[in-house]
Amino acid sequence: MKRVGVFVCWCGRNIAETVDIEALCRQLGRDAPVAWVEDYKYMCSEPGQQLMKKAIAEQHLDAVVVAACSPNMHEVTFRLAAEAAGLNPYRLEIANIREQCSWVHRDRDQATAKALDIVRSMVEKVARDEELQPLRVPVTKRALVIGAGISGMQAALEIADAGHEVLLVERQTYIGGHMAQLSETFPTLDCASCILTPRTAEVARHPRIKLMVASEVIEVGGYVGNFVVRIRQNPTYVDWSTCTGCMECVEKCPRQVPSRFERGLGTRKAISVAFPQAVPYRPSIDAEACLYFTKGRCGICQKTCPVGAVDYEQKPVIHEEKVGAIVVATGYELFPKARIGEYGYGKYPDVIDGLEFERLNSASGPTSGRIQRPSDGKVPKEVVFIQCVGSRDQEKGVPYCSKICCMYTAKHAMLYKHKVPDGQAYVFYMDVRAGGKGYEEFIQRAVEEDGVLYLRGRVSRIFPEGSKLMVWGVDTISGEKVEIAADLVVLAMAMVPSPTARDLARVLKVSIDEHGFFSEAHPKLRPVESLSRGIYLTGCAQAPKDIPEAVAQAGSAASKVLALFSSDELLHPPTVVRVDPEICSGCGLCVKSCPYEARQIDPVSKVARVREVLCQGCGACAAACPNGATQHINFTKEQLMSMIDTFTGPPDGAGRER
Amino acid sequence: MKYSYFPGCTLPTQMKNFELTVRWTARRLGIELEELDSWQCCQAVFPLSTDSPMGLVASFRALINAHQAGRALVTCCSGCFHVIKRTAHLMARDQETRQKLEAFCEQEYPPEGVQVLHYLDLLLSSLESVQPPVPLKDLRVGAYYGCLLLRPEDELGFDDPEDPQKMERLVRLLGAEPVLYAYRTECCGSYSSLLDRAGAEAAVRAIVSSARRAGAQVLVTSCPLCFWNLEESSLALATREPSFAPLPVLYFTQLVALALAAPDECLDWSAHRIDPRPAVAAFLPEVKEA
Repeated sequence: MKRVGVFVCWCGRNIAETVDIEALCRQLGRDAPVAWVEDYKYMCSEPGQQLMKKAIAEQHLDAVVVAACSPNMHEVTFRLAAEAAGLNPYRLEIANIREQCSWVHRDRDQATAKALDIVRSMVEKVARDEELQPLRVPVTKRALVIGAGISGMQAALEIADAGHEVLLVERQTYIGGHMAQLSETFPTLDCASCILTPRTAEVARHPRIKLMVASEVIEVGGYVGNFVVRIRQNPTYVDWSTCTGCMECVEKCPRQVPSRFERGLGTRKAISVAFPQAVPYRPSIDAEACLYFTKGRCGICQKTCPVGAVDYEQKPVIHEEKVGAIVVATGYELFPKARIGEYGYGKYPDVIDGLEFERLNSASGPTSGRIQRPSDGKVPKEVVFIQCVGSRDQEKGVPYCSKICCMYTAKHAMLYKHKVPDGQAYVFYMDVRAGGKGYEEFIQRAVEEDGVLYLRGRVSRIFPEGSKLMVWGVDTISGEKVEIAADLVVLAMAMVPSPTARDLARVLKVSIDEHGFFSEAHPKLRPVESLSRGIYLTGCAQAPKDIPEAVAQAGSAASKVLALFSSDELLHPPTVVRVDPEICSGCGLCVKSCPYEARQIDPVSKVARVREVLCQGCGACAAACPNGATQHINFTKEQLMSMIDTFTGPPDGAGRER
Repeated sequence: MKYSYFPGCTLPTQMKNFELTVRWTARRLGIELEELDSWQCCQAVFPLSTDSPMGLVASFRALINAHQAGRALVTCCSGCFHVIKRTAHLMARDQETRQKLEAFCEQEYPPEGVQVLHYLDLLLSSLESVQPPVPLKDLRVGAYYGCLLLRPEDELGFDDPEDPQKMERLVRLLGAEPVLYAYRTECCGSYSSLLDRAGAEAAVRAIVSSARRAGAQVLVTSCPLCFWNLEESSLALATREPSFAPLPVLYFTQLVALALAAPDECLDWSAHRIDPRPAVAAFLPEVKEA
């Protein structure tokens, strides 16, 4: 017979107010396997833990139940304490009498009876718990970073600088992400390129960063410390290892198409680099635009290339790589204008979004930084900026705040006024959210020094009349309806997750929220971890955020990776499943039910096997196994039945005193 | 195909110009409209109170009667369409209200629901295959939707409230030229015109001048209330402001009737206080001299 100790926590009044602790302890003390019962006001506190440790040693306890809060809160705390006292930590169980009892009931007698049942069932379980040792697995000290925007680059650089190899995978043909499209940044108005290009150059030349552009992660197998990823490198139709970057092909290419990088405001050639400062500075062919691919003729670039690097036959290449940790930095997109009917469904050329305005304002953009409206190239004298387009709109957009729009709209209005001092900038806003260092001062500067006119209210419609755009809004402070004949309208569109995020989440087997942003493990305490160990999140892949925040989060994700890489072995929980080969019939139901590819049929013995390090202990296969050959260690059928018996047995406890 | 027809109160009385052209175009295009045996006023406004369902009784009965006749229910007036379609939508969604109405009327509402159609939809599908004998060439038409036909979108599902296209499509099918203008989906002033003349006139001034600036020669509507407001306020404005030029207002069915060469006796101009005949003179039937 095991000697079980029970330690009942009051949790201040959280438990003690609803559960009669004294009666509970008195009843438990009469149960046969319970050798020791003690209660304390805060069992998780240092004196509480000391009391438990002392009892384990002095009373020679060989199993412990702590009746307290959810195991999510303090299971680890108590197991470490038990281990320090010489007890195998897997012989300590938590009976949750707070969340599942005292917090949800009012009647003291009934709550006490229920608490008694909960604790007793755990006593039954713990008496049958095995002593276990954690599984040990080696770590591949090499990281994969998905997405090479500012956040992904930052994470890659920090991990690489600490001495580990990094694989940086980017879907586009260049690195830098959306930041490469920006002109200036708030609240300092320093040029985005000037901050970004040193970073992109550093990434490109770093000896420990392996950069893969035009590439996508298509498959992820394995587990923390030992992921196996498959990456598809899409064809650029130019062999970059021989290409010298002379760009003669670009010069000679006869086909001009709207540039995605310029958000359709400028053009690019069918063979081109996205922008002049692109890293890597190598051309690629847009097969959808290229005459050779669409019509089967032309081929000028191939004839022009002095080193014969143009290769129309290039095919996607699949690379398989081993990594120990993964950082997801897939960034954001803007909510499409085509979904906003009241502002013209994207049909009016002079209604543009924030990124388009960035390109108009950029010295390297299609207008070389002159503010000209897209329809006729005129310098706009009346510009209306509308905030929260799609954001905070439960009807037609997304319910959340995109966080950065208040600041970049102020920046846009300010930059416009610097370039067109005799123009007027209007900003329609719901409220101005300028929480951040120097942010509120920046807004004040826009209003006071640059004379930007802020109007609190929404815009109900934009409609073209002649060469003007009539903007109908309301100023809710004066209560007046406002109609502005604008030359240009700039919409601060909601930030939405990258369109690839949903598929990637499926590949990574990590969860995303209802909007498609990757879910962090805990909103406050584990903000850069996903719920899958070894997969970390950074930047706008997790939620809308500005550059400083994205960079800070990248540092945090990198430090998590480095902590993981700091030891040679990882410990894996031993509470996995086990197969009795004598009983197993090899039916394979466990293989089908396993979401982690941890189960397989041994080709020789024809019975099921467990790949223990892949097993997450979910128990699906143990439930599916028709004859009980698969048992979940420390959740065996015998243990579960004994717990159920306790719950369904006589309520007065009669017959329990064995 | 046969439909149950709900004329509403206004068409057979004040707005015979609408009713006559509805019936004539239906006959002409082979759309069989059979008027419901007994119907009451739809209540004109969809009730906002949720504690008593009494305001829904008339539309509830109309829906059940149409179902018993085995047909979809058709209306022409924006107001009737709005109220009845929203009632049908509510019946599908709100079991409690449906049961209250069923108990009160001692009639059971069909579990599969009742289809509510606007006559404009029937015209659009019929006209696809008809070449209008009198194409309304060079007539620039400003379609005026107002609010009741379009909103709330998820309940009415008639057209996109931000950028509706159905009336413009009809205008194009008749050989005329649709004119887009900013105020085509703005409110005409509705019943506030009874209390707030200045507000109603401001609304109509904006609508008419916006349509005029865009080049419209006539306005087309499907709502008797919009029709009345547009005329009433336009006339009031014109007497005070010489610079204000009213636009004639037609029902969409009148436009169809003109293009399909309706005989003179089906075109009743007496309800129009702003005579549209000069604007559409080229398409009028030749009147026999008396």
